Amino acid sequence: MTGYVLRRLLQVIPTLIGITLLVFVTLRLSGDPIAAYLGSDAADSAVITPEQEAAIRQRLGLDRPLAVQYLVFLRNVARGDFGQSFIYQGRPAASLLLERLPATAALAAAALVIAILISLPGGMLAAVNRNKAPDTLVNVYSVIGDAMPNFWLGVMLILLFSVKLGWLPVSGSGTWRHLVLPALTLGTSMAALQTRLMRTGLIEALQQDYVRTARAKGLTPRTVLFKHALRNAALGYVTLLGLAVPGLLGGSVVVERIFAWPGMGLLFINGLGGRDMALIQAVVIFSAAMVILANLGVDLLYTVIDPRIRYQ
Amino acid sequence: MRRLKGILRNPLAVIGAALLLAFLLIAAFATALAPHDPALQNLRARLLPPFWLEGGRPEYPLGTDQLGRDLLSRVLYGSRVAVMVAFGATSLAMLIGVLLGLISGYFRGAWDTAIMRLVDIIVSVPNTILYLTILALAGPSLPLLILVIGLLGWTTTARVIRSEVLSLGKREYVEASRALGRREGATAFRHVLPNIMGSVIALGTLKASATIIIESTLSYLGFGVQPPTLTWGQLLSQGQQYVSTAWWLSTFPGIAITLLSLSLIFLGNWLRDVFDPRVAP
Repeated sequence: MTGYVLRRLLQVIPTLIGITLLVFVTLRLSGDPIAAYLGSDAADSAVITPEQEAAIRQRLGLDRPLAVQYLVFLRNVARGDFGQSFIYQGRPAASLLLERLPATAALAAAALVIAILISLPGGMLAAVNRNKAPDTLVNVYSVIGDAMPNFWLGVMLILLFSVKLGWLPVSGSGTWRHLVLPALTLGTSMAALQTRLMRTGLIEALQQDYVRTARAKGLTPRTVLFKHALRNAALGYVTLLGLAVPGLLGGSVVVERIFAWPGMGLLFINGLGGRDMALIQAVVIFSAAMVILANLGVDLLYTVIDPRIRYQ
Repeated sequence: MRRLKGILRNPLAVIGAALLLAFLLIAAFATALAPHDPALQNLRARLLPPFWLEGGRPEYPLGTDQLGRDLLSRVLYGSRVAVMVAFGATSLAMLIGVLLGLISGYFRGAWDTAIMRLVDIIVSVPNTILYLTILALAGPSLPLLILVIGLLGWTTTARVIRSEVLSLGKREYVEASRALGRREGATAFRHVLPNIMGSVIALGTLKASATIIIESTLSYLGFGVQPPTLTWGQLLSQGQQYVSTAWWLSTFPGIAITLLSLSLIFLGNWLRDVFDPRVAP
């Protein structure tokens, strides 16, 4: 058990190094950091003398070898220092991120609850009534959910609930009513995949020998479903919730833009528009860390749920 | 090939094939099919509704936007970027994914470790965030969009192909080829690859549908192919500003995206069932 956990923790290190290297290289390849520091307009019109530029380079450490720059970058990232955002008057990118985090967390949590409320019963209903009407209905939902881009779903929900019915606000934040449409958009589009996987997992579990045995010894269908099949299908479902993290983070960028929800995603879009390196690297590295943590969490949770894994 | 004739027994696959063909024709002949120049403004015909509603005009079948441009023509032109990116980026991603998955699953060892570590790194950053970062920093353009989605979108394919190859590696005909002294590379390409081609085609079709969603999302957020080249994502983003007065501007581009994506899902699901009956629903 300890061996497995240790091995799994060690695996995270090369991934983390790879990500930081990827971010470092991407940001360096994408243009002169001096231009980014001064804002692109300033660099174009050459408002600074070569001496001033050299001074800035020295102060930012850009005159040192790339390898050294990377190590400095790593040290800063490890301290949670992503640099100053120039579109937000030089405020630290990390504190801007932390400020916006609660809004994104609320959106993600609400969306996840909606996704679970749809996918768990939906997948069960479909698996138990395989190839019958409820199954077909669930299949139609999951195919349309895959084919429909979530930003269009969001706009259509605005059209129906805000414009036609006038029940909910078009965009913004402040009350729980502002959260309903963004969470519905993100949750229902994520639930399509989760419902399908829940269904497949449960169908597979229902075909196992232990289910046949349970039925043969005369247990009620309800006990067989909930105590035997569902518990085994739950293993796959837990993985799925861990895998939902990248979808929630990526999806929140889109959904926050649709509804002007003031979270991390909107901050990221603003950072991209202004080519604000500090903000961009803060969001990218933070998201990657969240994804890695979620995967780690799922793997460790596995060892608790499924004792077989501990002995491998 | 004989198995493919069974398409006629699957109505969804027929609908998918017909829709896809229609979109390919529209993309190829958009200039000829569009009733108007999509950029042509007509200030006396601003925000007209579709022709069947009161105030609509037959010469603007799906209505017009805030500058009096014909929505139908704009949607028809938008299909070109969607089809090009879906085809270009998906082919590139499949090529890389199949090759790396094959190497990883067949040769295993250090290759496998290196490739799977690379996959871990790429999938750690949610792909919307990854693609947006590169496009925003490097300046979005059609070739870059295809390259970014193609060069980074192969991870799932590589994982699926790897596991298929791992399970094939123990089959007798692969063992036999090895026993006959064929070089490893030759065995991988001559005996393993042809046996996974079916899954590759099905995976690729489904992947193309996902690519269309990604392309339109990046465009919607303003980091896809830039105006004046039209994309469905841009149309939707502009249309959203008029959501309370002109529903058609945000509705029809979305229908176009969904139908094209749906056609590929119908076809892909059918192909998957044909080539891999084990996972049939």
